[in-house]
Amino acid sequence: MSAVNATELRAESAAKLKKRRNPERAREERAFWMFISPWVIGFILFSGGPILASLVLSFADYNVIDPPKFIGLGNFSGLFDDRLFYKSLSVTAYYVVLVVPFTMISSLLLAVLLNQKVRGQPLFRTLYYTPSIISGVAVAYLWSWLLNPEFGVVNSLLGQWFGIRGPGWFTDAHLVIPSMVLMQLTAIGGTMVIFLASLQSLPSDLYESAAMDGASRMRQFFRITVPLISPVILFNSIIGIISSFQAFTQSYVITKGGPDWNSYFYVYYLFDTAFFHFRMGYASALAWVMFVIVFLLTLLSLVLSRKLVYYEYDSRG
Amino acid sequence: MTMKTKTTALLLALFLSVSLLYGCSKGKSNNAASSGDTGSSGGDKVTIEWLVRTDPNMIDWEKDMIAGFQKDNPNITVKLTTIPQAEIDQRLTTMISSGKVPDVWSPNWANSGFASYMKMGALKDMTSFIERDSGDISTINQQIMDIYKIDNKTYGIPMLAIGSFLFYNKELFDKDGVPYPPTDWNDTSWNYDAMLQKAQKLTHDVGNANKQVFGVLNSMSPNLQTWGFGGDMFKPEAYTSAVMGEPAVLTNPQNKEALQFNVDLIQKHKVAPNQATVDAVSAVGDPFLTGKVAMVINGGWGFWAYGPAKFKWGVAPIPYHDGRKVPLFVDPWCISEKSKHPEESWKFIKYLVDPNNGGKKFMEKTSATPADTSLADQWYQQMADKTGMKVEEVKQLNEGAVQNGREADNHLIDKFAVISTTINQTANSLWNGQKSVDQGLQEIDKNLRSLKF
Amino acid sequence: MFRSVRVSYGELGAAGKFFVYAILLLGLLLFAFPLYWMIITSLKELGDVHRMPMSWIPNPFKWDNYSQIFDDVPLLTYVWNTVIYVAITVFAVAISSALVAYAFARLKARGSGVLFAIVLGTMMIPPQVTLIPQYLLFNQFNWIDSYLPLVVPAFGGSAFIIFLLRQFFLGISKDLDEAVKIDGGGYATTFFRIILPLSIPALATAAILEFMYRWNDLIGPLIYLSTGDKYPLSLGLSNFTAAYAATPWNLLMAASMVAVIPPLLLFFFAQKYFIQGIVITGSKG
Repeated sequence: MSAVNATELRAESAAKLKKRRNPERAREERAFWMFISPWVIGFILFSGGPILASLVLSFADYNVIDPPKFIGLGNFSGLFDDRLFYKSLSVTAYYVVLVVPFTMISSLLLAVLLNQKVRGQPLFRTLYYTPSIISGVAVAYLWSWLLNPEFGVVNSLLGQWFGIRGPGWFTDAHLVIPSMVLMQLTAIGGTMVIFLASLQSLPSDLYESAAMDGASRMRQFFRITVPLISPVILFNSIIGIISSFQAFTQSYVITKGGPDWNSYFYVYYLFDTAFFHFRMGYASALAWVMFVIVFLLTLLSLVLSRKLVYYEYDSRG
Repeated sequence: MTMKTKTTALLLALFLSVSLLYGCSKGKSNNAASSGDTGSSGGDKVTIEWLVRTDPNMIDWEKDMIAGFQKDNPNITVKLTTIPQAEIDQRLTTMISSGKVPDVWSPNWANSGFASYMKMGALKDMTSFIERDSGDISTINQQIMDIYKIDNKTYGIPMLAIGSFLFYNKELFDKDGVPYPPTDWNDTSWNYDAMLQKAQKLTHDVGNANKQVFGVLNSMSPNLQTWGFGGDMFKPEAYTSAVMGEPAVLTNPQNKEALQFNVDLIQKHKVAPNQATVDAVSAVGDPFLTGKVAMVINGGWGFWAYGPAKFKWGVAPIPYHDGRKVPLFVDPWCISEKSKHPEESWKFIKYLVDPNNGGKKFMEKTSATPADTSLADQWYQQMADKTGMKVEEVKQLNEGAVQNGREADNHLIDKFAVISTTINQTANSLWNGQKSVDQGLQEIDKNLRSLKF
Repeated sequence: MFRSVRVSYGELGAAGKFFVYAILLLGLLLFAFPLYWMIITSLKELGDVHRMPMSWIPNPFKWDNYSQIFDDVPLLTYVWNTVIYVAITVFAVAISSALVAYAFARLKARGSGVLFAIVLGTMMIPPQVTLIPQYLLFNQFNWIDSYLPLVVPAFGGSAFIIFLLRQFFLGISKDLDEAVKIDGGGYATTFFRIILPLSIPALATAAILEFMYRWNDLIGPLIYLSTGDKYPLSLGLSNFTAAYAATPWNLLMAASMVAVIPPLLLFFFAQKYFIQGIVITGSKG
């Protein structure tokens, strides 16, 4: 098949056109720079400077109005005995560990469901996507109403059907983060759409032969679908990690970081530090510490994925 | 390896160019004209920027003010910027850092409040203007005028002065035959015990979502609740120097009484909704408007926020207690320290608070309590028409609220947004009954002390 | 390649269909609730919005709310501003990101790994700390109170979309590239003749996600725009919010409906391009 062809071709070129390789290499490299030039120019002109500036500010005291005063590593050493740094970091880490697998699984399942040919499929897809478009307040209201300890639907059903006294959800120190994870269920639209798009590009012949071999639907899903969309699973996981490290609006709207700091997310702390405490330098230090953590996690995912992610047509040896 | 050195060199060059670019921008931005106009002298046209928080009730007044002022002052253009209160601090800090500041604004319309922006150095000392034109603002209540005088420098001209009250749902009172509370702040029989007794009579069916009614809800912040009992979590100097300093959380015994009373309303007497129940509703609006809370202690904005309610409601003093103080919410107009056109801005502020023009129209449009004494009688009449109370009752209520009033903590103490987050975290676990009041106060004290300013 | 085969493996039995249907309908109770709540709130009188227990059907229906919002604020101006702004940025982001993603997915060059790491890295810095430096930069360009700070950087692509398209491009057969090469075509030919046509669903997905992001983004316009007439919908809606419980929720929700309907319709009608787009078959001759 193709891999063979390509290897043959390459072997041929290696033997016969050894001298032509370098110019070709150079041509490819030139093309590379041409193609990425929009991003490079944008980075130099617009995004790179502010990012660098935030790095510089992380070594300074900056109250927004007076010029920054450089204090070396002062901000970073300050983090070590900052109770809220540890608290918000652990709250966030707990959230990320729960929310990334939860949203991956639920959005993939939903994508598979919405990929079935049933009547009204386009309407279903649209309605399932709506919470991702509409005003955050309406969604926050929905969840605080569903999970309200006294008025809420969930607890009243628990009571009526099982005779259980439902928990406090958002007001319970132990349940507030799991509740916020659960709340992300209605925000999976974007991830779901990406999965749905990737499900469209699966080759039919593989399923055909699998079905002929008598493989069950479940088996087809794990043996064919999952490996084939693994580049997209990797993508969604990495984006999931990056974005959930920066999550805080749900807490800002519903719990204000409580009870007792148990939903005080890292970026919530950063936000307060920057815009209410006016410690922009310290906020920048917080940001860069988070950058290092997220960057390492992303690298780790990319390295681990080399074995797990399957680029079907990647014939590079 | 050449590959790596080349990449590094490239990146280095990139960063260098960026930082140079950035460095330039920073150096120059301070000199940039604030609103696109260069020079403010003589008959040149000048543009001033007026920053307000969004409010559908005020937008007509704002447009009216701009039109009128520009007609009187053809060489001044006023540019209006409206930003939601939740985002205004982000916007302001960004503007302040660039020197491209709004000229006229109210720091209390941001969550950080007056003291934070004053301490930062973002507000202009208006004393010389006030001394020069004292006649133009002489009718503003002097007690209220002094609130924003720090170290003998005045930084703001008060526009509205809202007291705090207890609002009650007349229909729920009538249904249970409970007599209405009084309107006299000096009536010592209207104390917290009396309030509790009424709340107990009014509470019923708690737990049944369709029928339940709660007797009372204190929607004041924990520190403002302690004021009502003569307590305070901060020392008196904190409010005059704008610096929190040593907290008085543990030294003031009234603090415990106040917080314990509220915990008991929720946990022991079960006449007040649990904090959680409140949160679900307050994501959208005020719990009083659900019609399921008979009494609510709240700021005087209830006078207009409760306007659309479909039930009749009344207003009463906050219950009596020795040393009772209740919060006042006074919003001033201020000028940015870095404004390029302070003279024009001052002229505009005078126009905004003019009791015959801006101030009067503002009151008529928004129902907000005016800071100007010459407008008081008209406001009493306006509120009496609105609530169905007698003019004298409204007058008695409001005068009492000002006499017993003290400007709110979040306007007078620097970086209070951070302080109140710190207090609220612990307070929520008190209301939930997860911590004892003693434990909670200890914790609040410890956490406040650990804040770095 | 047998296109008809695809249908036979994808079909569910009657029981399977019923099962899928039941789950989807049940889930709608949750997923469609926010929209339902918005609709009923937008038709209530203000005094009824907060009443507990909640009334599921407005009584009376206050259709006036919808005419009032158009009287109160220049809603059509906001819609128009948003449409122009979103159209330009989505187009810019999609094209630029596709070019960049192609390079990262298909071309070998020294330093490409490091550059890709930087692209990803730009997403990991919380925007709260770059806000002020960025404002200072655009202030220097004299771009404040215009759409330039929001639109021009879009031509550099978006890290998120670059990453997304790169993942899709990696899945396209390399044989096709080789075929172009043998025919003497360059990289541009490969990109425009092979990659782009084969990635219509991916591009449409990228475009729809960028569309939703731009349509709803509040902070960007909030920081850079100050003249009311220039506001996009996201910021214009905030004209219906007020501090201290004075927000007219019925009007806010009516205005929000105006903001929600265009993306919903777009999603409904455009989904055949991004979800039911062409199938890249596995058969390769």
